[in-house]
Amino acid sequence: MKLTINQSSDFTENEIIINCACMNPRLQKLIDYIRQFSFTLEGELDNRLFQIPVEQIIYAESVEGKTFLYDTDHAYFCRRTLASLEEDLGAAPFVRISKNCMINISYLQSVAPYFNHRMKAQLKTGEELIISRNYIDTLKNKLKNQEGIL
Amino acid sequence: MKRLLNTYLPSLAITFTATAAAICIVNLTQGFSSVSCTLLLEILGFILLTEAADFLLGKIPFPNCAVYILCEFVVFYGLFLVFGFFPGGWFGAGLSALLQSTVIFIILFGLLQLYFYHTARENARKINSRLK
Repeated sequence: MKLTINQSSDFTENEIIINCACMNPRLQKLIDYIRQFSFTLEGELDNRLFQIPVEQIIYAESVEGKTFLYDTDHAYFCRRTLASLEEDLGAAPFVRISKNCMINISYLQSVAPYFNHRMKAQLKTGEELIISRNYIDTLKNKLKNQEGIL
Repeated sequence: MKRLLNTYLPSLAITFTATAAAICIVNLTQGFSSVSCTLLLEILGFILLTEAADFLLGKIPFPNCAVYILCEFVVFYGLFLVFGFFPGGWFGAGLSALLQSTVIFIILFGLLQLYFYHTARENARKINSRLK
């Protein structure tokens, strides 16, 4: 695949143009991945609303019925449920790892066996999350689908 | 429901079939040609209860691996003793039978832990290789 980057102060907006003879699944995955960069999620912090770029969200967690979005520095309250986020972020590199947590696999560094048939996820930020036994296959499939893109 | 169909039902079927086959082989080698229906139902009941216990243990947030394994051992061993030694149980009465069956239980429990640890390690290796 030929990659051309034109950098100039004349451009007022970042733009990606894909020229192709025909669409294939691999290209479609790449397009889905790029599209997440124009997608934001609304989060609240200190009574202020923020539009958080999806690629900056490390993980989303539901705590006592409330959903929170975490980036490197903040935890934003989100009015949506994890299930609705999961639907919208299907094409993005997000995957459910437990009943109350979904992570951005771009931030996933490694996993290790953990007791009770679970796994421990080590994130690039140094945080650790638990992957439930029911979601290990989901993670494996997501990584398989994202292969070559991440 | 997904977990019931994908995990518990297949493991119940596999364990029950393997145990029934093992009993048939042992009985045949000892000159018995039939297997009691009650025994098979007891085994089914034992497997169902251990799976239910495993499901419930999965809901408890254990502080570490040792506590989890110890708790699982106590629960499973308790069930094993109930089925094995209550009136009409699988093993004969006496200290010798208790010691022998306990040793077999510990070996099987240890082997199962090793199997699950290796499966988990292999899964982790596959995931990590995809992350590289």
